[in-house]
Amino acid sequence: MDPSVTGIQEPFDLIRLSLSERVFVKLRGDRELTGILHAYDGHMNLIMSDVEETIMIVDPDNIANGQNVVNVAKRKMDMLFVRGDGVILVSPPSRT
Amino acid sequence: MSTLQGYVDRRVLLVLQDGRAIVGVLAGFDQKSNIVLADSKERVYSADEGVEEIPLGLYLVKGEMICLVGEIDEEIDKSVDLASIRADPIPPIRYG
Amino acid sequence: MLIFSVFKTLTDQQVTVELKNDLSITGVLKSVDQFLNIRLDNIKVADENRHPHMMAVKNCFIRGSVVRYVQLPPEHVDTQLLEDATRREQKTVDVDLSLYFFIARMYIIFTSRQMIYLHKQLSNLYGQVDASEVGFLDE
Repeated sequence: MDPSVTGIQEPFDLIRLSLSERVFVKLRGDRELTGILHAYDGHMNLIMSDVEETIMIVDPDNIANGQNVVNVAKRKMDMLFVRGDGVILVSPPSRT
Repeated sequence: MSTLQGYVDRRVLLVLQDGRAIVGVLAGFDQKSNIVLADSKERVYSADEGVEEIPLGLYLVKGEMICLVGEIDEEIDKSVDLASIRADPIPPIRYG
Repeated sequence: MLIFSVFKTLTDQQVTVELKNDLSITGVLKSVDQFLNIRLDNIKVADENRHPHMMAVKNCFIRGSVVRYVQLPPEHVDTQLLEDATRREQKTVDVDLSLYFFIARMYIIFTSRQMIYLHKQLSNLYGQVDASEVGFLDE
């Protein structure tokens, strides 16, 4: 699509268009967040609200059917600053 | 960095990236939060033994290694019997 | 810069800082700097039984680079303002730079003219003024 029509010229534009929308964020340390994006900067520092965090904890001792059992821990936070150095990806809301 | 100014000449606890805890008198610091600690001692925590204090002397700790600097309340610190405390060491920083 | 400003507006509010070593510290935000280093007062470490290391610590300095999250008081965060400021900041980087150079240029032209004028006036009043002593007209 023509960049002048979509307004998308660089990767950060994709995040800009996700402001005030619910986004999915993948973080280092097997963590994921979903929440409403309110602010970001060039380091990918984020401020999000209504956040749900999912932590995947792999238990190396507990092996079922030859695969490690992954425990999932979830928690909610109202308003959260996320430091950019931990961010792997930011995904805009799915339009389905 | 104005934020370390108040700690000069105070007894502080330094928590390092690798989880070590060092107490000493903050003799100086700079922009990169490099820190000079006088009369420093490492406090070694373990789950099945009391806390061991190892004298280190005058230390210059590189800013990148520093996780946290806490001002020690001498009253509370004196009232704590380190030999009776059983605790795992502070976990190291991952994905720092 | 934007995030730094947000933290500055939250001074004296209670926040919870979660570190990359899984330590979670709640306290009153006293100050923050451009590296997002944080000073907390009146701190409390979550799960103190497991983390007695900081029992005697009442206030602390946390290096920005070891922060994973900061939980903020939602009632003190204006989300609409944040979104507008974020949209603006992305654009203003380019504009700001060109404006900055323009002003810097005007400033040099303007001030050197003024200084020469001032120098002449002073010379008339007090006789010859040694420019090197006064510190302007270096060029």
